[in-house]
Amino acid sequence: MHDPLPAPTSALAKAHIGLATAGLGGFTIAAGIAALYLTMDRRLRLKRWKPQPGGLSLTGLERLHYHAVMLVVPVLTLTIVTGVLWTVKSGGVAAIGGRWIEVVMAAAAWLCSAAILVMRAALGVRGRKSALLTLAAFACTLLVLVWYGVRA
Amino acid sequence: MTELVAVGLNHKTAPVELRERLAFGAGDLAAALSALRERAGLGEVMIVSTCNRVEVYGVAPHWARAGERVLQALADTRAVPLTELVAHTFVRGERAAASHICRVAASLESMVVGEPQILGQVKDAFELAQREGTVGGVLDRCLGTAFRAAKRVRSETEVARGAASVPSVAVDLARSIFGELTGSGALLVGAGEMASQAGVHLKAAGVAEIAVVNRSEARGRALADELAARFAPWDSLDAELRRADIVVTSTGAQRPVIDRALLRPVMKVRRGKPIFFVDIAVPRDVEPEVARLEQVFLYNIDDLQGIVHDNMRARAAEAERAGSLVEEEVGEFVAWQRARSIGPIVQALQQHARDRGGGAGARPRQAAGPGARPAESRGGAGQRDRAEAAAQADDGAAPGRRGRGRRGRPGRGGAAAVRSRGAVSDGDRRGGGGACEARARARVTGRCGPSGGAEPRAEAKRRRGMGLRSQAHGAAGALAGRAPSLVSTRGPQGTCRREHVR
Repeated sequence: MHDPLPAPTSALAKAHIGLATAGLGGFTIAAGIAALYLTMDRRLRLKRWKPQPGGLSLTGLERLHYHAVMLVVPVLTLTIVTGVLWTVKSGGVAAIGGRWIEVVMAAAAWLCSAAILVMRAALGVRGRKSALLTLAAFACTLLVLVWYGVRA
Repeated sequence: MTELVAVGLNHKTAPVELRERLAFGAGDLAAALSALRERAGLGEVMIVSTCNRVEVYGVAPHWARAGERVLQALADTRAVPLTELVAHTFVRGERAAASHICRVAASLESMVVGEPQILGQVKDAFELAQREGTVGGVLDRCLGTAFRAAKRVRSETEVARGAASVPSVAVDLARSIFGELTGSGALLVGAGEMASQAGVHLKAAGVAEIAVVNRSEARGRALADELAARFAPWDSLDAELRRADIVVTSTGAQRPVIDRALLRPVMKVRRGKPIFFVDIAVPRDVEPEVARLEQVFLYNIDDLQGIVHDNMRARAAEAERAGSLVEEEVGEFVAWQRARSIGPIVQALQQHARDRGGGAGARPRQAAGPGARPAESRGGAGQRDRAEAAAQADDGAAPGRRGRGRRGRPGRGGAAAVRSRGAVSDGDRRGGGGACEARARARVTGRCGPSGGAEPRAEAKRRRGMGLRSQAHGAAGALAGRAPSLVSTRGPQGTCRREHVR
């Protein structure tokens, strides 16, 4: 079994929890927009979309999704940094190995979300691939949260 | 007594060959109004002449006879045999005529149900008739009702929802992909009629730039000039595809002109920017496999027509609901007309009471005997005055001065009042004849509720049950000792009954 989580008494722990909460909120919004985008894209491709004046547009959703990810990535980065520091401070470097699931999931979420920004800037990748990456990153952060819940 | 009549032909009743022979040009309408008024003996008249309909709305003492005269006048002036005209026209009177006018204005009688142009065309026709002085109280009220019904139909039903043509659907889909099209570029591949129509729609939607690519330079340039667009030679198709957001293809080519091999490098250069292909050509101009590429959206003519078909089905379903909404408004117009037709009887009663009683304070009950239920017994002298004022106001008063109707709804005035709400407010503020007129009319028609303070609810209900005929009898009964007189009353569906009352 894994060690139980230390009580979040230090400022670092509080910062980590605050950032994680904000990051999760941001990811939820980004994932919601991504899901909407994928639904609309699919319906348009299958010719099942009923155009409505003044409704959502695919490009608008894509832009909104990009901005949400742009805001979430720095928060997620800081969350991971403060989490690692908190773990090292409370249990030493060896404690990181004992929490490899959280570390791997958090790293995967970060990589996915960073990939969205880098691929868009470097290769112009957007649309379905970006939305799928956001959903994958969101799933990783959810797994981290679930794992925290199990340990708590 | 005046009756409403609607005579005409439209896309449902007559072929285009006859419609075009009867259609009035914009310059002819003013003269036609005066001529028709004279020849057909109409008190009021207006003409709605569009590509799908030529209809005359008038007011005359007898709608059926007036309809015949209008047909004769149209046959004479437009050089169309009367028999041919009669075979393709309709003549409707009273409630049916009012209902038809309201349905036309609400676009329920249009070829494309819910299209918005017809309301503007009816308004133009009405304004012209007003300028020519051929509109009176009845048409004003009827068209006011029609405009209000049209507004309600548009706002309370979804009869105008969803595009009804292939180019409109294409524009709506483009908006679904790109949002506002003001920053988007369009490319027309081909320079035929369909490309021209699509270009007009895209331009109206606010597309920033349109380019035309065509094998024949002359035709391509002609279309580009027509749309104030840019012409590009056929060789530059791939370069144009890199720039455009919306591509409309309508060439006569027998093989696809845009395939996956052409588009793959184009999409790389576009760096994930979406592109929307509208392929309205048969055979298709865009290879179907193209749609598998990321950020490529492809709709062909069948896809677009499928959406149009769905929209039209939805509109037809909504049209039923819209029809009952129109009938509500028509009911109010018919009630107003009935109240108006009773006005002269009320005036005669008042005169009679004055003659018999020797003053305004005399009670006709005393003269008519206990069995009679004179209309005046339902109110005092003030009420009688209001009823009289109502009758006079309906005949010629400015419709904008009319007040608010039941339940505080906006003024049930004429078309002028609908267009000019300020005038209605003025009338309300002054507490002038408008509000009084509405109350008095309600009493005359037996529609007065407890809020009117004139009679208990049960009596009002009973009186409503009696109907207008009974009221006419009751009113006439008050004219004790007077010779039998001929009174016309209206039955349902615009039928006209004549009855001897004593």
